Amino acid sequence: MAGFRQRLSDIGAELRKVPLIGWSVEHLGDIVLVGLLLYLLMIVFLALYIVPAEMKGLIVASSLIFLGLVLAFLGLMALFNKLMFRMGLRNLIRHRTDSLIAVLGFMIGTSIICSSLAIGDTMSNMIEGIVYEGYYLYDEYITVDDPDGNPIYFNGSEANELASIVWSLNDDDDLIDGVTWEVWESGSVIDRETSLFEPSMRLRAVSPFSFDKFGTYTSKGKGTSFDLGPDEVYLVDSAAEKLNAELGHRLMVSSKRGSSEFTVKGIIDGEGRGATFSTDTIYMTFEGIWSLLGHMPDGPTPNGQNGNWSNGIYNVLLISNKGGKVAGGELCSDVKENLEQALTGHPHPLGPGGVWRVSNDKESNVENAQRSMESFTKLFLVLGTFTIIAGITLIINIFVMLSEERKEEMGISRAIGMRRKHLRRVYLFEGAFYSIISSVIGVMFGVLAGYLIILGMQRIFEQMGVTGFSILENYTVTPISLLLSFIAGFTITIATTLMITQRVATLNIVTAIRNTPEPVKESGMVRMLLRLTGTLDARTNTGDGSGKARVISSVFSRSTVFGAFMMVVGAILVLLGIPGKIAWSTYLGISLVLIGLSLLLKNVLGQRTAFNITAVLLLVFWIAPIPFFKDFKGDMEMFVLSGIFMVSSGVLLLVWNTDILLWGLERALSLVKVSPASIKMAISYPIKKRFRTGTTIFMFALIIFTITGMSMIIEIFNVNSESFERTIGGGYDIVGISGISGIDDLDATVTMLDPVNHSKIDWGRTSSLSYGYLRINYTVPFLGTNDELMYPCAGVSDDFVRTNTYGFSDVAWDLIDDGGRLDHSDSLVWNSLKGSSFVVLDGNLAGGMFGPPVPFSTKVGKNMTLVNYRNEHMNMTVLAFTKQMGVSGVFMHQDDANASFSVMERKVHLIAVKDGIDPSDVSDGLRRNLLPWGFFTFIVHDLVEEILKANNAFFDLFNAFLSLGLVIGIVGLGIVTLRSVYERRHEIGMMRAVGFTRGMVVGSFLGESGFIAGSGLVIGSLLGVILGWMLWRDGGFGSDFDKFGIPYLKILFIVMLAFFFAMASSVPPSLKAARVTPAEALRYE
Amino acid sequence: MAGNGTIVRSEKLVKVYDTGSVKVEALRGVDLNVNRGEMVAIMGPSGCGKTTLLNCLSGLDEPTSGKVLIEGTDLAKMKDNQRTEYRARNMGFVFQFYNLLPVLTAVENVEMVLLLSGIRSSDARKRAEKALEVVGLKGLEKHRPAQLSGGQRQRVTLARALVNEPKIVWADEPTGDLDKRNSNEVMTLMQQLNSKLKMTFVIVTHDPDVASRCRRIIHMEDGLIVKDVPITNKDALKHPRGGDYTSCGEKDLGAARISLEQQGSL
Repeated sequence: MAGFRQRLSDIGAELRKVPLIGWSVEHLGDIVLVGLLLYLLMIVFLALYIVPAEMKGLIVASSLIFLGLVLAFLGLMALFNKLMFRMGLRNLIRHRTDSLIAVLGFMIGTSIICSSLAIGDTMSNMIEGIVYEGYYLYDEYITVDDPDGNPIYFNGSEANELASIVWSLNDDDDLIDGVTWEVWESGSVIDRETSLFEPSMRLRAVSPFSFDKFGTYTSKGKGTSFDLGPDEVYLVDSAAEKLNAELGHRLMVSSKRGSSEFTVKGIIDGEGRGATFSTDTIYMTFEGIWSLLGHMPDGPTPNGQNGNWSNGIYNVLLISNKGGKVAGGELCSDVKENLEQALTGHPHPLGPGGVWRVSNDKESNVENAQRSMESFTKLFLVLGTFTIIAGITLIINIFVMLSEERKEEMGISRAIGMRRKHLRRVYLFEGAFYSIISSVIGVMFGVLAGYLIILGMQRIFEQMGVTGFSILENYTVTPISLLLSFIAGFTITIATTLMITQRVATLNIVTAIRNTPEPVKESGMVRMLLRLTGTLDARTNTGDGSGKARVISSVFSRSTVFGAFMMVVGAILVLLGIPGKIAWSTYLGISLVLIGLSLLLKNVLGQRTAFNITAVLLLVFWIAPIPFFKDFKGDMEMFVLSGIFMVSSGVLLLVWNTDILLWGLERALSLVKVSPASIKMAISYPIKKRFRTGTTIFMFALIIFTITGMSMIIEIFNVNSESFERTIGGGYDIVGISGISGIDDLDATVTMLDPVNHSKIDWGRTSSLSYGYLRINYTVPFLGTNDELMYPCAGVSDDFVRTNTYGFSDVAWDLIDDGGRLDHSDSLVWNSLKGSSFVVLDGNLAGGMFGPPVPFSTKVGKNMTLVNYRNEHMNMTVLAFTKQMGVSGVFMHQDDANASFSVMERKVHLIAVKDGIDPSDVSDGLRRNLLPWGFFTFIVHDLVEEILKANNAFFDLFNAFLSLGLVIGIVGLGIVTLRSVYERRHEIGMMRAVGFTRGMVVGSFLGESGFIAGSGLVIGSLLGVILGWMLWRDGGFGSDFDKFGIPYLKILFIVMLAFFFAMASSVPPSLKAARVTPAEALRYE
Repeated sequence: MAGNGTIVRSEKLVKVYDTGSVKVEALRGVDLNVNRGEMVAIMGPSGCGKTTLLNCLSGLDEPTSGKVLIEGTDLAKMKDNQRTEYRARNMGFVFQFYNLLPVLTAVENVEMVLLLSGIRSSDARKRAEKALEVVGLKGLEKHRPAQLSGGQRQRVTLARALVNEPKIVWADEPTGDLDKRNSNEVMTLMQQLNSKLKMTFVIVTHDPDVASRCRRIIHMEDGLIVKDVPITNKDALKHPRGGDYTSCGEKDLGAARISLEQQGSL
């Protein structure tokens, strides 16, 4: 082994003599490590922000391999650099305070990532649980729907035939263990004893011979037998609660075909066999429901005994796969595929071309739940990005301070023979230990933080009255999330460490030992050019002071070259962004060009002028409305970019003009008799230590920027609640939905059944939509496969066009305005739907920052494939998105909805009441009197209030999540102050010697911390307010939101609280400084 | 009770450093009088207690026992803040290292003690500029310490030490970090201030050249004063045990009695 290593060493020595190869060999370890880390960083970024859930496992597995490679490589480096490894480990053990500070600081980014993933896992687990519970043991079901989405009925022989087709699948693949027919209907219910009613409940008739495979009922947790007579029912507990029904109560149940009276035989739990999502359900016998439907069969009804379904009518065929509710669900795709193949060619009840609907909704709902929660997780991750950036800034700050503290030690190490490479290794190994330890602790802390956030969400849901599930009980962090958090935290920390160690090792030995300023050192290229032009001063290896030398030094300096590089990269991004109107690429590119320009100009104009100009230009660029970029599209990434650049610019302006600011502060404070000496001490260090001051201010400012921005968004919503109501409600006060069957002429029906309320309704502003279902064919992102989404189809009438005020968030005007000749108006859009291939989509399908998640995205002007019940595919063009999200649907003219999709029933009624009338009175009356149609209503105003309340609560939760980032700022400030006390020990001793009292020492350190924290908080909150204003100004909330508001008290509260904690973190080190005795501090022998 | 002309007096001054495992008796009962206008050098080998004596006399450190009277005022009876304020108004300090605050300019460093004494900013600035002029640094007011040579830095320190017209200036190895030329310049300045302004100087040094500029030499050894003679004495600069002080100082580290109270034996 030793001989082998010696040979390797000899080969290395020879190779090092060749210039470029020598450099590469010298830095081989670093090059390999950088390569591995870059790859890991890319994977982590993809896993966190880009890839869908189904690919996450693969990506994490891949990153695990690379993590292993990195750790193995570090281990190999340790093997070949045992001394450096021991020194790195020794540093960790002997500098305990430093280690603790480093670990605390480094772990925060990891904990943010972990808590975001934990939140997503929990929500996913909860929703999946609800889905599994809702379906329980049935995994697929077969129905045939009429165009209005109602399942049609099969007679006994048809039922038998279909059941046997399903069972025959087991001949090839033994996947099915249960088949049963049921009848599902909707009906309205009145409890005769309590007089309470529900306009729409699920009526469900089940076979008593299906319980072994499809589960039994429970009542108060105990099993109960299905023992019902034809006029008896079981009520699910939630339904019983709504009706206040008890055992023995009589219920009048009405369906579209008739009414019957039933007696409550039992109240069962709404879980297991008794669960059907949020629909309250009444369970009855087949005979019971057939009598309600007016179809009592002749002869005996086997009800599925021994698989015999003769003599009945049924509309839903349920299938249970082998393996229970979860494992069975995983077989859905296979079973569905087999079923569809088996049913092809079988006569369809609606004639040729009819489509058998084999629903594997359980599996797809679970997948949808996962996707929904993915979006939720991504939202938290994107918001958490600011905290992660602040965490990286803290890592840099800590490492720079550690390196400054150990400058003398490093200088002596170099003096006695340690090479730069060795020095880098020592700090790399030390950094690797910090990375591992802090990532582990960060994951643990993240699990706790995630739990606290979920606890907060639970409280919010409870306050909103949403019960029936507990998020807290579903708290989960999957192994993938834990691994991903660890890998992400480790990678970010060690990558930052590696970057800093490059800087650390370039110090000059003598200046390090003597702690004097670093001498000016020109880059290799500059020295070469100076030598070539004869302008090199050989004594100092710098220019000889001539004009030519100065020009060469400035033009080819490192910062100039880097600045030029940034400008080139920025220009490329701009060129890529402008044609496609991509906001992030364009804005980032221009910002990089401006920053690069400042690096170029600083040698000409001086640092202060160049950076001031750049900061102002950046701020103006990001804040001012630039007409050219008006139509550029951006999403959450713009929120992140704007934060980074606006805050950086603000901080840059501050650190380069602190003297001006502090001149005023000094004058002001001296008026209130604060000691000028203390003020001078408090402000001098921040002015001098620009990098440390700037990065600490940046940390505070960035977090407060996001918190203030969030607070602004919700305030603007709140002050514009009336406009919001108009947007959501479309000018209507009540939305009524016929749950059982549609009402063609609401006016006439209400005249007849509810004349009192008829007079309260403003019929001139009331309209209706025909409502049914279609399928949207879409391509699954990343996977590239096709899938279909069942979606409502809304047929628009002329009344609707005339009365609605929904408005549009986006319109492809060029498709309809006849070359600009026609005025852009809402009616032009709606009227363009008639007899065309245009459709309008609801606001939900626009996606975006705050919309619900959809499995695909589209834009105006794009084509869309719609599929009707006859499996006919129609190519349509998306004309516009509505702003509203209250009524979901693909909107088309009612004639086209009827012709192409057979959607004709008037099911959604948009009702306006006369001025001065309370909508809730009208709403109650309609529900009561239109019971036979299962008419249920919701009041727009109440809906808006609920939405705003939920918005407020969730934004506050987001702010609470973001406040975790404030911990970074507070920890950062505490660390900076602690380090300052240590570094300035001797100066403190001298200060005390010449007359500083202990109180003045405390005051000056606290003053310094107060300045840093205060500046960060002021910059962040000011820019956060500006961000809110920008969003409002640019129509981010919609043109209806004409009021602007600033939540002064909330912002002030947050700022004061943050300031308090920041100062609190500085108190212990400041008191420590005051305890320094002059004699001890001044000892140098 | 202080005698006429006595500015500093100590009685049976003892200072013991107790670090837990080791006790060091740095001063073992020092009696000393310094008169107004004197320029006194305290010499001795490393570890003899001279810096400790200076720290205790100036109030930078508290003695374990004994008394220190400055113009008849017992420093021990003062609270920390009072002592600090007294230092600001009545004393000047010159150290070998860590004299100046690196983030302040020369004039800001000098005016600091005036601001601490409650002088108005504008007046403090004027006086600071004047003090810098006195020490020959006119034109360098806005320079930071890093931009000044060692000798210039020490002059700034001197300017700070005398700007509030102190009664006494304490200097601990003021030329320890300077070359010969700068040392001479600094000491010449101190002599001029002493003779013209009658400022009292107490200078700790192991450098005979520095001590030779003073009028009185006090030798310390092992925490005690072993010799106290005027410079006119022919053996003033000789080590009490004979021989001369070298500029590197004595290697004899047995100056202080060390009583070891460790757990277990060495």
